[in-house]
Amino acid sequence: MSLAQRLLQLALLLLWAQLLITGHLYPLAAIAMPAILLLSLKPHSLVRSNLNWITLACLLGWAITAIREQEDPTTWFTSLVNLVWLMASLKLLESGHKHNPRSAALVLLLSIGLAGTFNQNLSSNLLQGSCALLCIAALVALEAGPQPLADLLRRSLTLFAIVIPIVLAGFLLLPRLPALWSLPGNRSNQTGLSEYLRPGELASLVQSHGIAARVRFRGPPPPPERRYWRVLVHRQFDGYGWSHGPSLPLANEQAIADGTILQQWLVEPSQLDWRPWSGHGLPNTTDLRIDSGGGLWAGTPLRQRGSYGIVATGRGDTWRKAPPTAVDLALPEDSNPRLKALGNSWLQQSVDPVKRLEIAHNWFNSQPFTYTLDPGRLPHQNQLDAFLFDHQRGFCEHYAASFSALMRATNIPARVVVGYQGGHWQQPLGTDAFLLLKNSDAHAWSEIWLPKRGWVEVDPTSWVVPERVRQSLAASLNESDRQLLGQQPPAWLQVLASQWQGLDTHWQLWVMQFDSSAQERLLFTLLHGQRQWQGLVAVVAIGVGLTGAITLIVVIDHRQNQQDPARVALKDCLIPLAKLKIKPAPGETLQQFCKRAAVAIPEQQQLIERISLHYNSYRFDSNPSPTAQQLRRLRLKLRAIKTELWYYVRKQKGQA
Amino acid sequence: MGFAEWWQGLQRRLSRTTPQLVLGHRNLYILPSSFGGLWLLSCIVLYLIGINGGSNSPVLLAFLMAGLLLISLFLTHFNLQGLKLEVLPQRLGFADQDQVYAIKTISKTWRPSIKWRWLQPGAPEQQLQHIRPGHQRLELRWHTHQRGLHLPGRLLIHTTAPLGLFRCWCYWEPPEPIWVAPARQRGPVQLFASDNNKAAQLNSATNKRSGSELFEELRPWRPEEGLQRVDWKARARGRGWVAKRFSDIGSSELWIGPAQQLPFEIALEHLCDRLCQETAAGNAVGLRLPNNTQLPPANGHQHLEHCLRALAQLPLPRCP
Repeated sequence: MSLAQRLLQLALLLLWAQLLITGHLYPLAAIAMPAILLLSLKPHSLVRSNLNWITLACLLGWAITAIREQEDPTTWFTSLVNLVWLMASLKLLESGHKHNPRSAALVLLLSIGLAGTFNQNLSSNLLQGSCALLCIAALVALEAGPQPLADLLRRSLTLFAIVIPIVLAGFLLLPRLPALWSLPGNRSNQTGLSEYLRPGELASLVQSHGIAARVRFRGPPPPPERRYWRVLVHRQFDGYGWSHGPSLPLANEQAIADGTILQQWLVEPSQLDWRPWSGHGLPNTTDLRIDSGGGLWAGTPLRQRGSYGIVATGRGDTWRKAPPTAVDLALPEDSNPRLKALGNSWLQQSVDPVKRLEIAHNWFNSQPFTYTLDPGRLPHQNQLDAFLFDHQRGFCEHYAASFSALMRATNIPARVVVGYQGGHWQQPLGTDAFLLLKNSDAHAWSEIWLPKRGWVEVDPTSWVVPERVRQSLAASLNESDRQLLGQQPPAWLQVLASQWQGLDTHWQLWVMQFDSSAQERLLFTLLHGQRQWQGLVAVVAIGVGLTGAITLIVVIDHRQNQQDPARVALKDCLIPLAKLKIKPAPGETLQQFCKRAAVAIPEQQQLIERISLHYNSYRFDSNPSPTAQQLRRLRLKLRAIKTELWYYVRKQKGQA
Repeated sequence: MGFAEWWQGLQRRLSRTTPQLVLGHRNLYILPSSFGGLWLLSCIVLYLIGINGGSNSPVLLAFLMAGLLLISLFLTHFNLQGLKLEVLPQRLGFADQDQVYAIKTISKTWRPSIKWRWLQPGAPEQQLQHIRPGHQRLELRWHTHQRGLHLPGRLLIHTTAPLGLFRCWCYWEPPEPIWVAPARQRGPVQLFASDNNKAAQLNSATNKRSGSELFEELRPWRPEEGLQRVDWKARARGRGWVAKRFSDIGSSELWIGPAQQLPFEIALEHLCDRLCQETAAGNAVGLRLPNNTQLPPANGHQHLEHCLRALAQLPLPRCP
């Protein structure tokens, strides 16, 4: 089996491992790919004669799986990509038997590109790059014939390296085509917030350590107790759960494209139409708008990682002044009577909403509430009553929901906000610090309407467990609940992970999130608004890159030819003779030189003649060209001769 | 004019007939290979997937592949550019046998995967060579059925290295002809008596003969005589290892010519084989040909080559 096939097998193995970890493979492909890989490792006549049947079986299996998956129409792309991955494996198997592996390399490259549509984090991209490098090395091996693996990898890496300036020039400067159609997105790697807030939902979500978003700040980050990142604003309460309710008219906020960016967000894929933000400032893109509830609305789920900036406005947040509607006061009539009675009693005590808020605060503090990840099941009917007055064990959504309902019962407009609180401050070496938000930072809190101040955030969880807000979720839980969060990795691993996250964040922000608007900003900076020169600049940049690459190749070739390994070994072997002042004369052939040297040192005649014999045999007897093994043999022989010559030279000098 | 004729005419126009050829811009041609076409298509597909899926990974891979395509245009050209080819004196060969056409390559750089193919029907398949820096003698396989003095025809030199995305090629017609002797075939030849003893012509089919020599005696066999001389019948009958000994006709000088009762070309093939055998055995042999050409008996490879050339340049029979 050729080296090229081995490299392609390794590339397929890496691709499979990457796809397996990220969970995009159909079970059929997850099993079939390594099975086919194993078959390709040891080509057998039985496999060769049944290649068509194997292909047919794979196609049939794929078709059955794809039909099953078609209940969700957005999965057609995943089905198609799985087919390409299967085809890449089959092509590799086929190439081991009859065809040139070239086409297998090309299908594998396509497969790598398709894998890139699903996985864009740095580790996946590095794996994809390694797979692509192996494919290129396989193609080089096919053309250049047998050669040492190190030489082959060096050649392939050189090719890779010299092409990078051209890639960068094209990537940064060539005009980007607009999307012609929309590919369905990635479903398996989405953050866990949902449109409907059920009791207990966040408690299970926080047990996941998946990354939700990363934020970089201009200046220092806000203190922990002010790190509230809103995503969804729930206004409609049906007695059991909270939902966003009918869509609110969007506030008349214009995106500011060139303001000072206060926060740069990098958000993981999500099935929500809403994006996290702090609630202050404005987005720097027209794709995002702020609704009157203070949500950052994108209109579509986030299929790939997305980034956006929040810029300073210099004035207050308009959404906070949007007056409440009847929905913000509505409570289902036939539910939670005890909660309503409590709210009414507070209403009787004071007409001032701030005073009523204070009463609520005192009441929450006076009750023996327990903050837990395992609150137990609440009855479907009157569940807030059951929580507030009976169980008194709950997670943040229980407190936020019951407090908002209580406020409505006291005639204060209130709503539940779901998002993230806190985060993990990461300070990687050599890169900018950022705040990492995980699913475990998911949180719910309330907002109430105070006539003079507008919508004000109130977090009843912080009344019950202040550590939740000031420190972390883990600090606010008891020991048994902490175990539900899972074991924390050792400190050194956390440091490494933090560094890696930092690199990944930069990679995402600078490379993966580079889109047409980022290109516009770059070109605006480069060309000072002279966009008509974009094409020319791109062509010139690619031309410069190409010229540099070609020059580099010529220089490398020249250096390599000067460093012919056989010649180096020969020169090395002749050093002992040079110590005896026997050196090759200009124009003298090796054979002539050896004869002359043999005359000068007759006792070493046979040894010296062997130099010429071995070298010329390597140079001229090898057909079509010397192999690496022959070179190795020559080196060993010349080294042995050199050792004997050294021994002779030392002996001579010792006698002298 | 058909396409095939037009194509052949174009190839003739593109090929160079010089004893030395330095490959460069004026004689090298380059076009994407079919694999290069598929590669470009894959780049476009990946780019479209990237921009429509909102993902930069496929876009980067598409640019990487496009960059490699662009670079390999030059690298493939460089693989042939500057290579110097020279014809070498050719050795005589035999019809119906693969023979070598020797050329010399002079290169400053290592050039992987250079492919060579003779553009003639029935030519051996493509040959692959890696050219190393310096001078290198290349022996290209060549084949013909016809004896005579032949020009080898057009040679296609091409490469697809380093990635197989482009195919760069040139045509060369090496002007050095190659002598082709008749094919070697064992069979009867006409023997002539030596001029010294004026012996009569002997027929080639006598009872005592083995090949064209006269059987003289049996004697103990020595390994250096080779197995051809072993009397296998005697060995089978348990008489031990004995060798047949043959004697030349009358003297050590042997004159041979084409057997007259056979078709002329076949007779020449027998003659060719016999000449080679006698030379290998170290016997002096003379040649008498129908066009009154006579090469006096001698031995050695130079004499053999003269004889074979004489056979090669005999007029070919006319087609009926």
